[in-house]
Amino acid sequence: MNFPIKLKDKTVYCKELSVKHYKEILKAIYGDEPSEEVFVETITDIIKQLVNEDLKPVVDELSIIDTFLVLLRLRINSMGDTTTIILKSNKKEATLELRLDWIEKELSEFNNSICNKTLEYENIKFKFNAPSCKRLLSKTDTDYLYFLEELHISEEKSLKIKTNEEAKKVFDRLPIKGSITFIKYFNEFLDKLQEINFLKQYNSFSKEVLGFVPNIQSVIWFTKLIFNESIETFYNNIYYLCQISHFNPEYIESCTPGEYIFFSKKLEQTIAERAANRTSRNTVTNTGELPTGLNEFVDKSTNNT
Amino acid sequence: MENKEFLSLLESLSLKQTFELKLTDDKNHTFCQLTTLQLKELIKTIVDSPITQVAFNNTCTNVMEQCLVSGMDPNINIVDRLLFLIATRIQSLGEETYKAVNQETGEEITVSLADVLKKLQTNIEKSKQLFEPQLVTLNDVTLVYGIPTLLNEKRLNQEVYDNLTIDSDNMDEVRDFLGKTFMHEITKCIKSISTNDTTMEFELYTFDQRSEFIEKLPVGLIKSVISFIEKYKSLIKESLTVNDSQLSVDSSFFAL
Repeated sequence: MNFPIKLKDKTVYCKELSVKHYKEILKAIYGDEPSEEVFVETITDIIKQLVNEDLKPVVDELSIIDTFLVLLRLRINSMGDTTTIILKSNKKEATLELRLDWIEKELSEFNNSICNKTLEYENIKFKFNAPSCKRLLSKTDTDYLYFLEELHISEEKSLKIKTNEEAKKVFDRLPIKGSITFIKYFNEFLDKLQEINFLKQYNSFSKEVLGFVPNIQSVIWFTKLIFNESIETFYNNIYYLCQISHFNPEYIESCTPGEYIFFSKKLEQTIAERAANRTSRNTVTNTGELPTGLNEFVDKSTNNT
Repeated sequence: MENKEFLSLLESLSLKQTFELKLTDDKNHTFCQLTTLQLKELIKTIVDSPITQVAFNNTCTNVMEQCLVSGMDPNINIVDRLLFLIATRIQSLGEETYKAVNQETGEEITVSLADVLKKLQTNIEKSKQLFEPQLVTLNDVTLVYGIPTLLNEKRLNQEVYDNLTIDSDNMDEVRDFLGKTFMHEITKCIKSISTNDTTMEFELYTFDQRSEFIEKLPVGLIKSVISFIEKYKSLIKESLTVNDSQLSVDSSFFAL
């Protein structure tokens, strides 16, 4: 099934995420400090596999915000529009069903209102936009340089800025008033960014803040939030789906994550029913982890033979 | 479009944005507006010696040289540089006001830079004789001196201050440094010493050599130079004083 994802100036048609892609995402965000390069390569590669051929070159040019919006929409379409999070405040814990479609809406509105803007100073036009993931991989001390996407002089002459070094060279040659025009807008962008709070619509949590920063670390953090199954649990589930429910691993990888979750829950129910019918001390946990005493099943099958 | 071509085009754009400024020679000179790189260089000098302000002065001189369309004139002096700094702050940053802090009361005041520039130019006009070469003679020795030129100051910085390191915990070193700085302030004003038929043009000597000559001169001659230095510094101070607050034209002047 293909579905549209509306970005600021384009609509991208995507196929559904598969379990194979889901696995790659979980691997890319695994650990305390996932590699930014690996994450960016993995996500852009996955998106390229899911879009039409003619849109593949566009994927590398997507801004970090657009990339996250695509990821968010893929997650919503394949696994639903909520995720459960636990908020801790003053030694208290509370569970929240976080609406991902609300996050998508707020971030989209922010993106549309402040990003991809053309600023003018005399006969110079600057295109201000959130940087692409690849641009963010090369670091710079001066944050606003990331956001210079293109420069036009007198309508005919233009330069697409591909690296931060190019942005620096251009900036150094600009008249100061031109630079100030750009930097002032960047400061407005930062002010608006601080207003983002994905928790403000939840009355019980209105004092908490869940903001967004357009950098790779922030997107990795949010990816962990929206794809919050541990890789160990995932591998366990695949193993038991194959072992107990006799699924073919290639088939599972071709399913959508939604289907995989459905099958995992079914497996969970089946095992719970079996366990209830036997005198067993093993239990099934809510995370879908299966009993470690699998030998019981093996023994049963051996006895049958 | 090729990157190099585009960057050259940007540079040429900057050259087209100019402003006129009357200097102490009573002539209008054309200056380009500052580029972002030049502004960054000026701001970097915030880490500088508070006594000699070598980094700031050197950078300002270099920037002024780059911005002066007709090229550097050897007679351009430190008061001309001050005029340029105030004017370029107005023209290049597009802000005519500046928030200055009264060092004694801590009060923040808004200063009109256009008014400060006008005041400085008026004071220069009223004290035209200060900007002419000065002469003093005592016992057949004649000193010719004047407002220090930028080239002379640059040379002093290169020869003496650029590579200078002082151990601030060593009081003897500090005293020695302060004494030499005082001497150099005098030396950089002096253009020549004449006695009978011999004239010693100071530009032919290093600053250390010049100091040696100065040390041998009668105090009466040096007093005239010191008095002259006090006069022109007083002119600058008065011009930069707004509502009992002294405007500091240093690297922070260009911080946005």
